[in-house]
Amino acid sequence: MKHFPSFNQWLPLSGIVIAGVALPTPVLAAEYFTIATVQKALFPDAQEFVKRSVSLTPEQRRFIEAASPTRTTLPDQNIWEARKSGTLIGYVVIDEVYGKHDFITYATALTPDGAVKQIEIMDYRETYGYEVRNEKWRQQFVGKKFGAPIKVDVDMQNIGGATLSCVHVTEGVRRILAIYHTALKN
Amino acid sequence: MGIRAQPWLGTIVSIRAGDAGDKKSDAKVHAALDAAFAAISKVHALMSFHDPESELSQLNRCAHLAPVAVSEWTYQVIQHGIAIADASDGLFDFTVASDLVASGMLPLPYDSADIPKNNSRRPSFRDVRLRPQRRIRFAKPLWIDLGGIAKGFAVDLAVAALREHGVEAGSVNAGGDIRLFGPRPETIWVRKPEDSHSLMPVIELHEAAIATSASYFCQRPSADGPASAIVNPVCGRPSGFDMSVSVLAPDCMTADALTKVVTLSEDNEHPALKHFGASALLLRKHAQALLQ
Repeated sequence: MKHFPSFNQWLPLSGIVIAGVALPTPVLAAEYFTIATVQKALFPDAQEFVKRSVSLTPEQRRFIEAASPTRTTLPDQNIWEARKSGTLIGYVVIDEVYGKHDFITYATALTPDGAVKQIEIMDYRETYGYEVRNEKWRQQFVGKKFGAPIKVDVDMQNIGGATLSCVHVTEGVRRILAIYHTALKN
Repeated sequence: MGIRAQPWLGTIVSIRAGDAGDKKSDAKVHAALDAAFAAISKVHALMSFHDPESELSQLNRCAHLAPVAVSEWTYQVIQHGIAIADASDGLFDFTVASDLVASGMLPLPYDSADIPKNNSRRPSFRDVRLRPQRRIRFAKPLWIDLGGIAKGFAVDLAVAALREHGVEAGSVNAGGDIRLFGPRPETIWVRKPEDSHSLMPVIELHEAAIATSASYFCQRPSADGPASAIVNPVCGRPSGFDMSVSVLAPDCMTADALTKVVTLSEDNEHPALKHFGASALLLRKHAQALLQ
């Protein structure tokens, strides 16, 4: 049986920073869901998820961007209808947001009349600020986000200290609701 | 093992049910996670400073006019907040909200809100009066912001919900406030104050909570110089720069609130810690750590 040293005691701190010496800089990231697993988690009763294609007029785009002006790309190509016995039971919208320090993919479940039912973070990764503005840097995660394991050096669950604000996710959800009102509502 | 994350309380809350090494994930685990997130969501709804419909907003609008009855959870948090304020001689004080609004760290709670004006002394926690039947009264106009304690409370409730659903091991991390339960200790890491991308291990945590407070992501300029989410209640000035404070306590609500006491006093052996069975680690930028 493994013997644990005394727990709940502050560890002796030395000049060695584990992350800085042993590894270049740790990848601080976590992945919770893929597209398929998040759809099931948001609508366990759904029998199928049908991609909904949405094409926005310039006027619709302006309306949506007014709801949340800080972003330039919209999640209008990542919308699925959740259906049971052919009936619409809600929508799943997958969006990615990034701020100065973070890069988050999340899924929003809407009821058929456009209320937010649930939000699940699919993955997040901390950045050093400058990378995230680089399109090529973002591209390397496109395949990895959905399914392939992200290499993690430290379990994010065990990192103390203020990390991410969810302000970008909140803005993203406002944008999604604006998309619902202009393009999905019947 | 199931692990999920949702945005609540202004941050990301991630909850794990089961051990990290446990691969099995089933409906029971997800039902437990749903219940844990429901508890977090309820705290968010009751205690949100920005939501005009929250219980907290009701208090902030009316409790100086007449006592307001609140729910059990809100009453508990305010009661415990007063206890910590008392033990810290007011270093922790949830009535600093109007200073936070003035410095721009908090927006006005809602459009029609007027910052409470007092001609006499600044309000303090002593102006928040607990009454029977879960009623709260303010002795003068003031605003309470529970941001320095409600996150820890939500973490404790999430752990309780997991346990109620038969989960024997797990953890909740709400924006870096952590509570761990189950037989296995786990290493907790914090960021170096001078470089938030470098991590260092600080403790083997077991059946306890650890809250960490630092300004590396929060510093915001204001007309009076840098602002911070931690404000000294005596003079109203922002504080907490150039350091990271971690508090170990039996529960997360206590750990969360005590980080403010240690940050403002810069004393990792402040008597309020011992009073609540807690201890603290204070890390300064570029300097040797002070240890408890």
